Amino acid sequence: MTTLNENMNLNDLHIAATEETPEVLLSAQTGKSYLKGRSLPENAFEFYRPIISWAKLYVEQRGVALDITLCFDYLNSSSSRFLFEMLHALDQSPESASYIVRWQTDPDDELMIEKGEELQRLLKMKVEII
Amino acid sequence: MNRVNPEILKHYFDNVAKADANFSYRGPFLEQFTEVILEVASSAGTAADIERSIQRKMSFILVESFQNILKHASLEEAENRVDNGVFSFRLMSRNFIINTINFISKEDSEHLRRMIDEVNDHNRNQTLKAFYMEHLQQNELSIKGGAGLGLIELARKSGSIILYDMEEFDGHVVFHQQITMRNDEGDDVGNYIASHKSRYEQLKRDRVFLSYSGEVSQKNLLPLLSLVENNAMAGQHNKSKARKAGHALIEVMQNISRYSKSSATGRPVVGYLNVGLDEEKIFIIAGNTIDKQEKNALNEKLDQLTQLSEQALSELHQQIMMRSIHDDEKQRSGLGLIEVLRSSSRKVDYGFYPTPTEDELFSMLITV
Repeated sequence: MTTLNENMNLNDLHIAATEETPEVLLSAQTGKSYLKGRSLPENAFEFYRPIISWAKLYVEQRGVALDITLCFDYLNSSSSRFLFEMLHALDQSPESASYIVRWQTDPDDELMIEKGEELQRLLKMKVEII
Repeated sequence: MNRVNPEILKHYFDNVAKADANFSYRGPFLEQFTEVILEVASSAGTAADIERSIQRKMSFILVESFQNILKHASLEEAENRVDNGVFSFRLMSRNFIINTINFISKEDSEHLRRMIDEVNDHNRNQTLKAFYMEHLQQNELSIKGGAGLGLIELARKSGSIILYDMEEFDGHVVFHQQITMRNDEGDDVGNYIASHKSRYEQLKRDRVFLSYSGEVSQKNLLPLLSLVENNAMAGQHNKSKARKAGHALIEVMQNISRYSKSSATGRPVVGYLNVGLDEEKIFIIAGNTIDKQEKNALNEKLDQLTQLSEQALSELHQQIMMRSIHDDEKQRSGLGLIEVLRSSSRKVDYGFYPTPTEDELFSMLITV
């Protein structure tokens, strides 16, 4: 018997940037994905919910993580929390330690560097701060 | 006691208790801020349920008044003046009032005085439209090279007499102006020039360049963020500091909004915000009114968190992140307050102050 998730066809997820949410591309075809821009919605759950679901389904169907680039001007606490939930879902794939999260940040932005370092401590995936 | 402390917020709270929204900005005045200030006002207008047609008029007089300051700001810059003046608006019982203070030369002041007096006479005699047409045809040049139609338009659109005052200072003239757009009931709004002057002095004493009180929402967070970030960038501050101030502002404003009692009842959340510069540091003082129960919980939480070292805060942050994965509560996690504390380069200072009601004013100082 197949589960509902196995029957679902996983398409690329593309969300255009707004003033308070980043551009998102999660590629089911290539696995090369990114979130880019500012992420500061007051309750980020609504925004990140489909992204988290997509990541969980991707890992479930493909059994691998993504090559993902994250580049934020601003990332508020609510976004940090749900972004982590998405990354944590990818981190559950068996070979996650061989995948790289590229954390692109301005070298002057101490807070964003700290957030990247925090992810290094929390994830099995390799977080590269660039 | 430090000269910058959270109690500063109390002066502004006392002054604006009856206002629906109150905004003041002391330079630098840049063209790009026109749009941003317009957004703050528009957000305040929407929160106060002001009709779109009235909001359009509000926008017009706001842009016209702000650009008037911009014209003179360039003169001040050329003369290397430190003080740029101030641009303020308040929305009170659906009356919209713009108060400005800027510096002009003595020669310009005489021309301006005659011009305003003439506009006001025509306004009283209801001959403003004819005066406008006459000016349009003549296209008489004003003191700064633009058509002197701006003042006539301000009077026509606001429907009120332009209030002003001039005082000589340091070889220049300090020009105070008030543009008033009264509500439908035609309230007698009064002359705020003297109180606005006191507010200006207070802002200078407190080293505050941006003061806002009113609804705290995502809609007005974005323009306020833009003002703080650009202001920091326009000064001597590096990008890192400007960004840090931005991070702190986002978290502190969203915390007010998230934890306020009003947000649970669906009423607009009212917050108080002052941003300033002191000894090369950007400071943010922000707060809101809270009841006794909220006060006790917040006080206890802050007492605990502010005792923690940077390392301990970071560890706590990580623990909460890990825990939140399995947490069904999607609104509150406590991360926001920790991020506010982490964004401050000095220990966050805070206090609770009495208000005329049973609620207290909570105020927090973050230094970047």
